[in-house]
Amino acid sequence: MEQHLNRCVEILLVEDNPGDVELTTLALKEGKVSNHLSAVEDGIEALAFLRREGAYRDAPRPDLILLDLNLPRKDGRETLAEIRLDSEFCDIPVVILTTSESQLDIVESYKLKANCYIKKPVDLDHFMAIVRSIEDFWFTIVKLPARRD
Amino acid sequence: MIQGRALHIGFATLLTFLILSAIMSYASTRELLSTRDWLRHSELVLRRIDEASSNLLKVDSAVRGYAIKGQTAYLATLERDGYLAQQAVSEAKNLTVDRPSLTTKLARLESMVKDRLSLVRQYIQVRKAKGLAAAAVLHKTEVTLKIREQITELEDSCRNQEQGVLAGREQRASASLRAAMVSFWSSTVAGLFLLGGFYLIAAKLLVAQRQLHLAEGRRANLAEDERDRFFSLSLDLLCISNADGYFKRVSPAFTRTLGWSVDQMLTRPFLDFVHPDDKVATKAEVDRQVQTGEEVLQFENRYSHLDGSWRTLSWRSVPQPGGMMYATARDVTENKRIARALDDKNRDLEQFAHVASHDLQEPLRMVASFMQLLEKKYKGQLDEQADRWIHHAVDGATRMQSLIQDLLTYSRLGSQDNECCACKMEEVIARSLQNLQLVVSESLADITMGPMPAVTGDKIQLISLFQNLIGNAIKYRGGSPPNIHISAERDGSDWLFSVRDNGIGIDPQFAERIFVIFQRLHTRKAYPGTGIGLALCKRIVERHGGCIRMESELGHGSIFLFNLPASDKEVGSNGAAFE
Repeated sequence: MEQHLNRCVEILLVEDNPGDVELTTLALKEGKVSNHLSAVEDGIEALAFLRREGAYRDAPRPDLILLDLNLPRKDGRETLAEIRLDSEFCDIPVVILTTSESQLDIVESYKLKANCYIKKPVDLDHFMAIVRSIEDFWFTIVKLPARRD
Repeated sequence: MIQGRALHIGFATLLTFLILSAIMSYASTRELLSTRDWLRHSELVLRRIDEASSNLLKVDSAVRGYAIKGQTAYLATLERDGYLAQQAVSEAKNLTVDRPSLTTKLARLESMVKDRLSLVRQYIQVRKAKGLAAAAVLHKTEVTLKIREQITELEDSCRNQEQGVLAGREQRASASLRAAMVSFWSSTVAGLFLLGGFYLIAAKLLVAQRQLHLAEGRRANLAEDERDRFFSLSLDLLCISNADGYFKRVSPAFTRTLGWSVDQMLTRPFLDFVHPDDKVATKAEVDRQVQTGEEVLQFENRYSHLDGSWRTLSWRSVPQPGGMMYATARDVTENKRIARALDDKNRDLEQFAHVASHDLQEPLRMVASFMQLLEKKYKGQLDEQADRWIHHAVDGATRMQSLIQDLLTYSRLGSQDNECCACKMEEVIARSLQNLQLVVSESLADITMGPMPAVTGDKIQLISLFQNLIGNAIKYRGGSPPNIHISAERDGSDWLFSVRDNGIGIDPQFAERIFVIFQRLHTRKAYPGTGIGLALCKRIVERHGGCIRMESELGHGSIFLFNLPASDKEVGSNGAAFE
């Protein structure tokens, strides 16, 4: 717990909706843990970010990935599958944050080893609360593996 | 039947008559024969008497000859003729033993003839010894004359008597001949009449029989004709197949459906027409059917069309002992195509639902969220009107959100079917009450239920059904705390459920409308909600094969009635499936 509080945690948000990006940013800004949020628009960008390819040469290794399912070019399911296949990033916790309530999506996400599945609530206050509880849960309650970089 | 009996009676009568007339003919012929015998008998007697008298005359002339000439040759003739006369009388006597009077007479005649002959022999001795004169004296003695006279008299008497008998016998003979003739002709005529009658009856019967046969034949022809017409007319493909794997007969519908001529269908094994992928299954099905003798109610395979396309046929067939089979088939190609199209449509709809769940909600969430953000951050900095407007925008977006959610729930009822099982309704209702716990306790509702059966259904949907109905009963309560009663009664193979409340009730004119999706009878202010609840209930009940209706009077509560299939399926008495 101490280690996290001492430094800024890195969060990668994979989200194509700029509104959600802004809301998430807002919610995290008011959070207890000092954090840095990077946002990318789709799966291809996300993988490039993780692999530090192209414009993401100096990208930090995220402590947590917030992944939407419906994304352009490469969707959340494919992205998750690739993350889990890559020995470099397979230990990064991935939280699915999506509007879908479909059982199919839920089951498939867990099969692809998502760490948790959260439906974006409609209400603004709920949304804010949920984002904050994600932060709280993953960075103050859960023990994560020590950073390698 | 009646004609048959007439025939039997006629035949029996004819037979009896023939036997009777045969007996009669036999009797009269016998009579005739015996009369003839008796006639001959009488003639014989007469002839013998005549012989006796003629021989006696010969004896007399021989005596005279010897007397005059003295030649011994006359003596031999005399002895012979005398013997013959005696013989004749004796025979005549023997012939008439049946008539004692005549026999006595003839016996007397016989002794008299004997006496006379002894007199003759005396005379001959005298002649031999004393000569002609002495003999002549003897010849003229009283005794000799008298005996000769007596003999002649007796002879005549006998002859007369026998002639009288003969006349009587002749009369009898002609009478019996007449009788025989009468009997013959009458039996012949009567026999002919009877035979004629018998013939008429038989002929009539034969004609009737032939007409009957003809009528039956016509009926049979008519039935066959009708069958043939239906055979040709049927839209379904009708056929008879043989154990050898060929069609024996096919209806014209085959040609209409598959293009092949009837001849083409009959001259090739039917498996030739079956799609290569379906051949094994078809052959297995035919073999199985022939072996078990079971009727096949539904079997589908593809048959080739003359134009090279494939038509899907749905078969129904009944095997006969010996491998023959009667079968009908229906071309379901089009149905299949429609079913596939429907499946595609359903998939499209599901896709649409999916799209709605993500893509429609996303922008709405944005509108709602940023409106709320605006409200939160700038409340008090804008004027009152701006605050109200923001509130309306947020409210609209939120409502739209719940409408979409409800629509999704509603459409998922069609596409997502959980497995149906026997559900104990007590458990189902308990679960729905659990979900309603908060409103139930808040409203102080009194909820009771009668004995509950088990029904076949989707448990989750059934919970949702009761949850909606009970929820409504609480939501639309009147001034007093809600009083809700749930009961079930047997209705054929179903259970009829009712949920009765003491709420505000519903105007009967809206009895149909309340089940339509998003139709509401109240303002959102008075009773919030989208108007999905009863539409969901209706859909759930209908998906279980039942129907739902409402009975109510405004201000006097309402009853919702619906039926669900019983899990025991039997038509039992009330309470048969109660726990």
